[in-house]
Amino acid sequence: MDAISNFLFNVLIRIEWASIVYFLLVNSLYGVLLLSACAQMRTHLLASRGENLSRVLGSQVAPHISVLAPAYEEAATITESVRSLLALSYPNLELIVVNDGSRDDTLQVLVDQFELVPVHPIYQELIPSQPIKALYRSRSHPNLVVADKENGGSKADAMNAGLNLATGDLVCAIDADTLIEPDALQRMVRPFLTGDKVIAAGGTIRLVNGSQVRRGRVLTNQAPRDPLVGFQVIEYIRAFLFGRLGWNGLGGNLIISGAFGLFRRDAMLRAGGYAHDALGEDMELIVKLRCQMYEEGRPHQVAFIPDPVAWTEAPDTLRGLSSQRDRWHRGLADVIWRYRHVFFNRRYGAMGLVVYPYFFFVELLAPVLEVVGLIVLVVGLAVGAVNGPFAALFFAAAYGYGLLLTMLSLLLEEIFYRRYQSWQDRVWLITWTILENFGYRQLTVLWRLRGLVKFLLGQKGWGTMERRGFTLSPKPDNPPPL
Amino acid sequence: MFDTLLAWVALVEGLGIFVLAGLMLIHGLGLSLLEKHSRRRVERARARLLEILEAEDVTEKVPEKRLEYLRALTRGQQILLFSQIIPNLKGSRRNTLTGLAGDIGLTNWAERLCKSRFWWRRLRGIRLFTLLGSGEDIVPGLLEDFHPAVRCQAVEWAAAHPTTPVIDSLLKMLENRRDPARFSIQDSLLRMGYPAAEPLRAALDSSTASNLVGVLEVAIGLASPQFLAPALDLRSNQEPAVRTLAAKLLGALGGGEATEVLTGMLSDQDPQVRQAAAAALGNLGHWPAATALAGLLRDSVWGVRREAGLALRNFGAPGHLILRHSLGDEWAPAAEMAKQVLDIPNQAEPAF
Repeated sequence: MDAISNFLFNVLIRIEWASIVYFLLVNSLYGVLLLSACAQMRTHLLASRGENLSRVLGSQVAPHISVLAPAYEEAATITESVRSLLALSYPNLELIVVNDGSRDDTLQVLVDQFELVPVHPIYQELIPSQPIKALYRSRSHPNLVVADKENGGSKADAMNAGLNLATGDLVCAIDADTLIEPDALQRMVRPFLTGDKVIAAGGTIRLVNGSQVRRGRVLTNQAPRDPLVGFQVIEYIRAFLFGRLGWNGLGGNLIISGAFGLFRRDAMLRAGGYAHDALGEDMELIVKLRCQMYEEGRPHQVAFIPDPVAWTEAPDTLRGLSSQRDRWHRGLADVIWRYRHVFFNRRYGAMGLVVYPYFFFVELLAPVLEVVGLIVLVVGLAVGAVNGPFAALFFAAAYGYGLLLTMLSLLLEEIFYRRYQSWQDRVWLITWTILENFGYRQLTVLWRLRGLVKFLLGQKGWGTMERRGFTLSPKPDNPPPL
Repeated sequence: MFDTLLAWVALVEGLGIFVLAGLMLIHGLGLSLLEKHSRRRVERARARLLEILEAEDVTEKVPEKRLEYLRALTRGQQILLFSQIIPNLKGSRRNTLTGLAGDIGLTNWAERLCKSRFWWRRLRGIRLFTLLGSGEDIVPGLLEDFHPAVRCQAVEWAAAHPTTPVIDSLLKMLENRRDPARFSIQDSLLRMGYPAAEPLRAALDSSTASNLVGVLEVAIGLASPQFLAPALDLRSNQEPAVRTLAAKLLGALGGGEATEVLTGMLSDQDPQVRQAAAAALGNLGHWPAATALAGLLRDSVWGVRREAGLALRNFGAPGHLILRHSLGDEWAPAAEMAKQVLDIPNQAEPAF
């Protein structure tokens, strides 16, 4: 009996040590990514200081950009979104809104607000998608085109329909509920003007909840007072520094957010557009594009540019958030599985040897290992296999180290971006950074784990998100916590 | 041992978090105060500078005492101030401001920056010269800088300095199709306008030049009549990309000779060339080409059929007649394209 219990004790302790080592490695890797992000940001700031952005505005040779905005039941936010897109400062732009068979008033709102009139489409269906029922052009904004198509059951289908209609050299893929800052395209187009290797570029996504929006523009940016949104703001800051900018210098990006990305149209068409059945169509497209480039032996680059900013609405209910995270993780698992041949494959260069394994071991498996670590810790404490100091070491490696890195990214955000102006905002951000470790992080781990289980069980639903719409937010009544 | 290690880890992490949070708050607060102070100084200096510029005779030498406010500013503040005012000025007042930049040492500083071994300093130096409109002695040398950002900025500067050596350097740079400064070169040549036309024509004449595609792209934007002769010659170039751009250039120039050649190009082997020629004839409204374009409705390439259809639509009655006739074409894609084009409402432009 003693031998069995000793064996179990040893197993528990070994698992716990393995968890601690895993978290130390993962957090150290984040540290490396953060250092890489710092170097990238420094170079970017040095290159862009005193830059004349408006030069591209008056240029006859600026590439033609088609902005694709798929909309499914977005009646609450579509007007503000389209206004923000029409206000983009770019000389050679067409905006294609694809109404993906919405059952609400999305199309009618567009027709009323933008004086749409039917036009005849002459286009070639290079990528299969559900048929387009009607095509409209705005009388008040001639560069606005609205395609009304039958619902294809996915954003990918709507994007592919838009891709067939697009005429630009570059295609900007966004979500219809995204608000893009007026100069974002001028900033985003820079790598395409200076390098023919660039096939895709992404910008920073920020959360609009709690900010003041008028006529499609974010007037003031405020740190959210709602904890659920506040935690997500911290996650976004961290993700875009570690997960995007950091990878720029370490083997390239695998994700360009579906909410705001710029692509070479010819590369997208060659790759066959978005995969209809992919759960994470944005990541799938980037992996597909990069695989194709490696297979054809062509040098390429997927760039993350830190200064173009797009704003999106975050879910503000636990249900909405859990559904989103569950879907994201299923999407990640789906892409990792589809392109499993890339894994540790030298043919795919840094992507196969560094980036892909990272996404597998760190992004995909993290929730499994975190849950295992926590369960074993609790069981170990209960049966006496693990003592208090050992548990403290686990928390220091998993949470303390992570908190330190998050605080560092918050400081970098403050130094490089300075988006939050008041000291109250800063105090709120610090508060959310600390508090996210007590409950919220564990919840997201559970949601991601659920997503992974659903993927293994073959469940493929997309879920829905209720839109609140962009409205003027009231000034906060409560003082921030001190 | 374990407890000591744990205590150290906790101490380092706790202290680290505390220090970082403190730094974030101090940075925000400090920067706000600095910005407030800086804004006041710049505003005062701006008022003084405007007084100088509003003087009746701006060509007079400005007394040293009146420059004290400007000299007291940091370089960053001086640049900010000049960048707010210079883009809105022209003529003698702009020259005065450039002179003042020299008087307060900004020009010398920019020169020193341009000679630095660090690329970001050279970049800053050229940006300052671009703003001030000076730097003729030093910036042309940086058109060959090894760093692409510096090269791009030097090319941007060149747009306002269209001298023959500068234009020749830009055209030479166009030979490298992968040069990161390619967009800037084309943009600068277009912004130069007339002074760039003659060197561009000379470059077009030397039809073996490797920079032909880049030069043609610029020539289409400028559309100077001087380009007609070389564009006519380029119709028989071996490179389809060159012939396509030649068709576009002829379309931008127009005229009897151009339309005749464009009509001939409708039977080019390359579909891109046929497409460009059809679009050009449609834009020029050259209805005598309608019969040749009708043949292109039966082209195997969709893009060519589309441009032919739209060109016929642009011709008005003669084109419509041919399109209606094509509705009965036994080859379904030709009849379908004719139908699609005829279905476009009269007032509406084709969406694509």
